[in-house]
Amino acid sequence: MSRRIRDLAESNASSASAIAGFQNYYRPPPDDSPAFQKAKANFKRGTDELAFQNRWMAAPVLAAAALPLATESAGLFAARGVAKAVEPVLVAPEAGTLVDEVVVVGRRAPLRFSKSWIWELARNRWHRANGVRASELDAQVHHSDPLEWAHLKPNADPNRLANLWALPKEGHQIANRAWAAFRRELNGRTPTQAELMRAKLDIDRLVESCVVRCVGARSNAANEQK
Amino acid sequence: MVLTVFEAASQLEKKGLLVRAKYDQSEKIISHLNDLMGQNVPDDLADFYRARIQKVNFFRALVPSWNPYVGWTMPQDEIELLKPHDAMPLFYDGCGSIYGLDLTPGLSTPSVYLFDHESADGGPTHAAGSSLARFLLLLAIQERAFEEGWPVRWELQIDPDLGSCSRAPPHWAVD
Repeated sequence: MSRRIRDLAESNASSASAIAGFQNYYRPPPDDSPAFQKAKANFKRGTDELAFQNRWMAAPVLAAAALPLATESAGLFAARGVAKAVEPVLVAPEAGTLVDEVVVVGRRAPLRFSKSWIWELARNRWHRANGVRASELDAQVHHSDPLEWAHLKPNADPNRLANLWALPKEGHQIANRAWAAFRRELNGRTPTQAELMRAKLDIDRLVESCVVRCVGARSNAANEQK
Repeated sequence: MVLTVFEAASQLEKKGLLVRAKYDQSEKIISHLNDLMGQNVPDDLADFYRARIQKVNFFRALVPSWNPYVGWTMPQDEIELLKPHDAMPLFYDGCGSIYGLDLTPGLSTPSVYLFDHESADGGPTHAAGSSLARFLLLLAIQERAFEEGWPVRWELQIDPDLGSCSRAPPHWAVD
């Protein structure tokens, strides 16, 4: 109870008469009255102007809240950088270790891999991506970028899905012969990345008409076409 | 213990990992290959054809077939590819490389090797089985071994002599 009501109550003999007196003293205007609406709009305008003038006062408050967020973001970015620095490359499990214990080394480390392990993984990955084994389609999983020179692209997973093509035996033999010709031309030299890419694009064009496609395959290409 | 191709094939068939051809053309195939190579095919290879092995797990066998209307259908390219290396193609590995049986004269139990399609000389890359029978067991189970992450050298549990193949070491010694 406010002081004024208490005063009124004290000044009057009974509380009932005090309340009646208070009701007589103040009566709020109805909401729909034009005067009230006008006053309300004026009040809002005034508060908005004040908020705009005093917006600088929010800076220290927001800064205090933003500081932990900024620190956390920086940490996340740093972690991302570190993760990129130790981007996993395929490394063959050493003798005596489990097959599923894949060693993760930094991007600067040379690419070491077990070919048989990578082939196994390639078949497995193609199967999982397409829901059917390449052998069931009378096809073989072909590495568009040959494993022989996979170390020239240390940041590229040789078994990335884009690198795994299902080719029929004949198509694969065409690709193999073309790569053998490329290898002969090199005469024992290691190709440059550019030479390798040029040969890959040429050979891809050579065999792309042979690619065995799986109806209903879950590929990004299929999604993009939609 | 000496394991024959027939024993290995029946083991795999019981587990549903082997499919046999409908018709037996083995004698025709063996005599045709004898003529073609100018020598008798090894006993293990003859048994392989006699066992009518068409498919082991997901690997289709490279076997010549005879059709009276069109004649011989041969894995000719594969035979030509392995001929300089004294080997007979048996299976594709699923990525373009070929498992071939060693045809070096004088061997009582020829081994099976993998011939890498990316290899410059085309020779055997690594040993895949000390005998054809053991190789069939390894081939049938290798997919499962990969998926379940069996320890490296698990092959020695099935084929203890895998490390003693003369032309190439096992894959863990090569890779």
